[in-house]
Amino acid sequence: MVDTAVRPTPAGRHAAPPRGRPGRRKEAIAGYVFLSPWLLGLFGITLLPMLYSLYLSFTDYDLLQDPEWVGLENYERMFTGDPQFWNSVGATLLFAITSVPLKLAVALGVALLLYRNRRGVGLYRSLYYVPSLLGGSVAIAIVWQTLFGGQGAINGLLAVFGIPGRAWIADPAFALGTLVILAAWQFGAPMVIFLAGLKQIPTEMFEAAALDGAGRIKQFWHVTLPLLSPVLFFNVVLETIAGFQGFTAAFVISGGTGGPADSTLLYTVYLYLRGFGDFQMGYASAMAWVFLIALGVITAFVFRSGSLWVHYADEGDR
Amino acid sequence: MAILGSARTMRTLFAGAAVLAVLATAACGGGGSRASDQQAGGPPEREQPVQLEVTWWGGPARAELTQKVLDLYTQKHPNVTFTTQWQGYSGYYDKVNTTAAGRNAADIIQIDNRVLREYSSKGLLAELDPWVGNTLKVDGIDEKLLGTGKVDDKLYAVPLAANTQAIAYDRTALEKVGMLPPENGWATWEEFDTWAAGVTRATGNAPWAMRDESANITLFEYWLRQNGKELYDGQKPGFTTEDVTAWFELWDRLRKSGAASPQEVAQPANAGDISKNTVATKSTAMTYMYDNQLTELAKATDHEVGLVPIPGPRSGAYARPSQFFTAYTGGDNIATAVDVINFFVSDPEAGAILGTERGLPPNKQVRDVVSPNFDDQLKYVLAYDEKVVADAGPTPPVPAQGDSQLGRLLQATAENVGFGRQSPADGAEEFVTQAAGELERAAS
Repeated sequence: MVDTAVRPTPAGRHAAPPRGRPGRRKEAIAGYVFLSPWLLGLFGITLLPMLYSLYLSFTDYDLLQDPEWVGLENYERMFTGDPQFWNSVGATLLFAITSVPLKLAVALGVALLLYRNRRGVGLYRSLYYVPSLLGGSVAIAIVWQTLFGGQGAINGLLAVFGIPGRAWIADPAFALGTLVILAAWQFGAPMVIFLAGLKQIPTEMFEAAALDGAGRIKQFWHVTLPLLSPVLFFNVVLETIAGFQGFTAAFVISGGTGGPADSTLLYTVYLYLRGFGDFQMGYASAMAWVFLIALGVITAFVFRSGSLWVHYADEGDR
Repeated sequence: MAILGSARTMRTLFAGAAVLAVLATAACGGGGSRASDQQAGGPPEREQPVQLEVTWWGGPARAELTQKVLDLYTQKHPNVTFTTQWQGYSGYYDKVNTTAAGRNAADIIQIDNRVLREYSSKGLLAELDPWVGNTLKVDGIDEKLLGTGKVDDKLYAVPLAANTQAIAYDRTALEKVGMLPPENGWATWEEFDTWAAGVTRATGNAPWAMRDESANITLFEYWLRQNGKELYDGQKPGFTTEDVTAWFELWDRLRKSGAASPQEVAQPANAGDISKNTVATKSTAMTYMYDNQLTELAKATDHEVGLVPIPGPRSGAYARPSQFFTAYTGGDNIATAVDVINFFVSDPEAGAILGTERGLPPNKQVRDVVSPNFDDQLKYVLAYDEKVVADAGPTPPVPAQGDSQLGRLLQATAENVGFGRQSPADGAEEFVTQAAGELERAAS
């Protein structure tokens, strides 16, 4: 964020339009006209409802009767009077902290395997991308539920090796783990971005490194990773946000309860249950706003950390 | 912000957006006016075309039967046609809530007693008393059963059917080990413990004798009633921490003796999805159920199934309204909706179609006409129901507001205790504190 503000961008130039030049204005109006379908969507479907939900977060609103102003009560209750809230915060943090690095590691690993041009590599790239296409779907969550169920295929497979099966989905010690694996399995989108990033690294770099006696592993740590870091950064930001917002899999696999023992009660699932199950739309709105702010802080933190580990090739120019 | 340009353009944009918002609100407001023109207790409209939306939860069998009855009504009154919406129990109320929030709920809504107080107090359901005696005939319905549809002495919901609590068992699996349950059940839970532990030993855990039902709020309610308490005392919990501790300890003993399955076997069915029923998946030989659900269970397994009363005194049982039909206050034509509801409960032809899929016909006259033609399974259910209800306790008051939170809390706590992550006493204390808080909040 800080970075982009320094650079001269088209938007930046536009910010101070030379006043009174009719040609410019006409152009601007045409621009807004073309933008209008999107702007209507932004205001009508996103911004106004968002502001309304901010208002609702200060009310007691049961969906059927008019909202009743209660001030900060919802926020107070969230932080001081609702153990399930903290439970859901814990589950969400655990889920994001484990699933995001795992998913990115798998994505990078597969991208490294697939980026050289070998026979049939295109087919493999497509195949590995497929899980991501199915990603958020209810169908995959149901497949997962069946695979990891007490009488599911995973236990069948383990039995072949003489390992006793477990109730992966039903046991609070493992249920969240199955969700993490499901998330990691959908590594296609970051993988494609990694692939594009890898293609950008000039081969001379590797040749030079090889001449200096660097082996495969050293090349990875000292050439690939630094040059890939902007792409990695991009993926970390996107996946972190997506990781915190995970909903479908947890909701479907737990049968809409966040069980067993609230172990898969992710923040979004709890928010949904409060809003649509318990008629506490005011409380759910307050939860949504706390979530928005928390995600903003976390994203800002990731951006800040970027300056420590992201290496831009053109940094010397600035 | 820079992208948006000058302040003037911004103002224009905001003005435009505001106009659109007003238009959208106005458009939403337009539809509601018709409901208020309707006269409560007025005659049903059958001369002009009326289209009503009907929504319920249930399986394909229920959908087929319900559709048949609606078709029959249309056949008799061609101007009245129906659109339908149905799905499984889990998530059903979320959908009703959402449509109600959009002032767009179905004209006829199937509910159970768990949400009756909530829905009626929030003005979602039309009060039906003005139609009683003219459009709505209720004199054939047992007074106690009809009472379950009343809140503060006003009728909001018509019981579609009655059922009662039971244990369903897998006859094939139990016959194999030569241990069929005693026909009239067990006098105490201790007696049941000994017997069921024997079953699990005989089958070698495959299947377990009884499903761990500690997370089930309706069986918890039954057990409380056996001990002379109720689930609710008005808007407060009707139980103490000691009661809940004793409940969790009971299941702890049953699990330890082998009479009940471990929680990991039971958990997938805790959300109430019939496809995960542990008798259907053959992981337990017995499970708690309502007697009318036997029809559905029998379809889900190739084993033979039967019903046996719950252990201990039958004072826990009651003639339960399995489902109600209610009329939405914002409906297009409430009087016609009431007439359709009446058709479901008092028309013998409709009763013959519906059978006992939802439970026993609530109307005694209809029941007497249709029951001789029941098949053997329906007759079996009817016999079980009449036997248990004869000894049943008084009908409990309509559940408090916030009942769904209570059910969810019990489930989470029972799972914690069942997996040994919490002691029965700790779990009970946490549950009771949270339950009391949720109930208090739900009523405010």
